[in-house]
Amino acid sequence: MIIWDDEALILSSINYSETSLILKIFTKKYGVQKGFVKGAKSKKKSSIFETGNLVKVSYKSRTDEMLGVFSVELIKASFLVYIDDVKKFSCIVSIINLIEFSLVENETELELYNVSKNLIERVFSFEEGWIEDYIKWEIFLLKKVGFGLELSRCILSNKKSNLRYISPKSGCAVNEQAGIPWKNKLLNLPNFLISNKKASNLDLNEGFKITSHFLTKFANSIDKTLPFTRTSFIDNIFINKK
Amino acid sequence: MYSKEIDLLINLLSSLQGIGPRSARRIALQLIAKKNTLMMPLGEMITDVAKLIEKCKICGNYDSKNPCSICTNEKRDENIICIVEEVSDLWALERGRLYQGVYHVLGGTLDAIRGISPEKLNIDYLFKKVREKKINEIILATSLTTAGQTTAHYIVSKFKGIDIKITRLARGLPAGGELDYLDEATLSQALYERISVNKEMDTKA
Repeated sequence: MIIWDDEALILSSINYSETSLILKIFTKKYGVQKGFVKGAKSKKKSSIFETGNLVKVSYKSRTDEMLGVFSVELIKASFLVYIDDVKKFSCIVSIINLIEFSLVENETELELYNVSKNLIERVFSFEEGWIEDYIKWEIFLLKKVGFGLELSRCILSNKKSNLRYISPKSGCAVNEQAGIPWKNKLLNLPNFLISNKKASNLDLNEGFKITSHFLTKFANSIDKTLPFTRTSFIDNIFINKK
Repeated sequence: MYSKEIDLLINLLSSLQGIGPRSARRIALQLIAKKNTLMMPLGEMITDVAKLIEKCKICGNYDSKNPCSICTNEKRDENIICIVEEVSDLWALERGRLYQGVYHVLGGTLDAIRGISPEKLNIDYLFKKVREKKINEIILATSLTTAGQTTAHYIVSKFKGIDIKITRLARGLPAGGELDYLDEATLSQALYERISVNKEMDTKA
């Protein structure tokens, strides 16, 4: 018998019958997991299983191969409360969809779990800078799926100062001087990614260009298309900033 | 245990959503026991409905007429469109008998992970309708779920720059709902959308 308890973020669910669901969650200690939830579609319980909710889960399964049963308790349902804030709403949907898109089941990702949970809390806080944090989170996710960026020093000159570009091939930073010959082929590296400076609208755009490029590379490597919800989120950011 | 035909009937019945093999066996037995009063009329009715019912080319509802009786009803205000996910939602709103506009059935909700993109839903035709006809208002009646709201936000974003009133259904306490049993999201929405009850005008407090 396999039994465990953990904290998790709800990724998605599929209707199994009139009353039950198959739930996909991102747990703190056990990574992405799937399980069956009996009676999940009752009026009292259905709101617990919404994407992005933070829950406490107990899992039981007879064997490794069998789909186990989840018993789920809600910890925080902050998600639906902010449903009318289109930017924040689409940001959370993008985070959750990207996690589901990128991670395979049964692999522990403790660091990514903590970073993702903190980001969701940050998105719902009233503090500024959550879009910058989202872009940094995408860079962290890229690292976790094997497409990490090296932004601490220039790949050509080994210098740590005046980093201005990023190579679309290697994902490494390039110093302003060293990058002059390839200027048109390189991606611009916004300052907020290598310092604590506040990002301008242009910086955010450059940041999204970088993560879009490498996330698309990752998506191509697994023969998939990036979730459209990510594009919707970026559109919402820039349409509403104009 | 049973003949081939009965087995086939049970299999067909159990392919319906919400009916398992045990319920299918019970239904099959009931039908056989009431062969003349239930099984034959039901069979004929299913055949007739299968022949007659079509999907409305305007709203996506099912009816024996195409366009459906809602779209062709002159008493209905065709300048107000209520957007619903499925035909079952349209029928639910019709049961309330309050709404006098017309509908648009999307045929589902957006789902990035399962590949249900905007092109796979009946969204483009909605924009075409709005552009071609003089629509005053669209009411977003999608579910209060992540998928439902993602779809609603997508529709709103596509109407940006178009002069049209977009509304959504109110959220809050359900009929018969006791505060103690409600989840915090519903309670927060109910508080946020509270209305004045001692003034003639219903304004948000």
